[in-house]
Amino acid sequence: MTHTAGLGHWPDYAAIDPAQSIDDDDFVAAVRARPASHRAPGSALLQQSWLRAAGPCDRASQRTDLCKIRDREHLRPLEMVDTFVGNGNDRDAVARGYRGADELPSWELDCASKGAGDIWTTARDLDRWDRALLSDALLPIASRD
Amino acid sequence: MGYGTEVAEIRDRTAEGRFPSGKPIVRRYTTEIGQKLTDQILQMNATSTILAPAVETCFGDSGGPAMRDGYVVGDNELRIHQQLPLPRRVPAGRHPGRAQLAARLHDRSFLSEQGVARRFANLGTLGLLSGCGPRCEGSGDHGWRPTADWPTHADETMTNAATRLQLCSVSKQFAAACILLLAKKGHLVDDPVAIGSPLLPRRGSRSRSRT
Repeated sequence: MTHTAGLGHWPDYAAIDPAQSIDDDDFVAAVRARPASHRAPGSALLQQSWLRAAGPCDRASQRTDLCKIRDREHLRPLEMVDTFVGNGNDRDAVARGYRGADELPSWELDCASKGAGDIWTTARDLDRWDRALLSDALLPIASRD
Repeated sequence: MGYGTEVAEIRDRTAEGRFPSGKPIVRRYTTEIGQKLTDQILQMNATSTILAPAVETCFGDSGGPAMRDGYVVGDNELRIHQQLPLPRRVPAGRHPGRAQLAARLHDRSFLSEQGVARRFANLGTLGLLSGCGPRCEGSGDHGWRPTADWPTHADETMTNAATRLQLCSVSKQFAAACILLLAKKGHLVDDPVAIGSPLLPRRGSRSRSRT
């Protein structure tokens, strides 16, 4: 997942629209169609590799979806009751985006940004998350070294 | 800010504009001038090209921590204003076309306790502080207006403590923690990472990865 892994960012893949859903096979095909390049950090933010983290997690948990792992392992134990994963179209109390006076739709989060940008939360819940990371409530301290 | 980021120098680019791999991990900081400051959000300027580490405020670690004086004080998110689920408009004459960095503070009291807001007002320059979280009145549809002079939209109500914001790249922390949890439970093995992902180059390097 480093910036030099050779994967590109959204603009590098014409077949991937972060606002549209895409299935795994099409996603892999689109990414593999572009040769890996080792460009500047920052120019390759590697959304793709974070998305791909979902695959191994699925396998490690008997194909349990990454969303469910995060919900079971992170959100519930930390009582992050206002946090959810994925598209927020039908949810209450979600921030809406605008450009000027025009409302902007969210990116597609169930598929295209899975693992990379699909969490919605409140300041209070994010506080719980950060404090858990800074303690041993979530992960062993050694894992932060 | 910039913790754990692998950063190459502009001068390292090849004639084709590419950067070599294997640069050392360094930490960078900034004294970037803040653009907007609310109780819990500091919005700073950043370049949209994100190719010039010397002048940006995110250093490629979108989703990583915001740090000050050795402490983690919030979370960084590099948000390009055209694409966000937050209302934003760069005022005329003020860095049009630039991305904006919104870092997040998890403790609103930090600002007043540390005198950061006062320092910001007095000096106009702030290191890496930050903040997140809506703290306004109202309910219902949640727009986001960081300052009183921000453009108002029809049917918009202010965000409040119950408003849920899209975390964007801060979500990566959850994915990373998920992987570490799987490692803790012994679900990961030491296989070439390319086995786990058909997207990665098959270089033969081994990584503590997963099955």
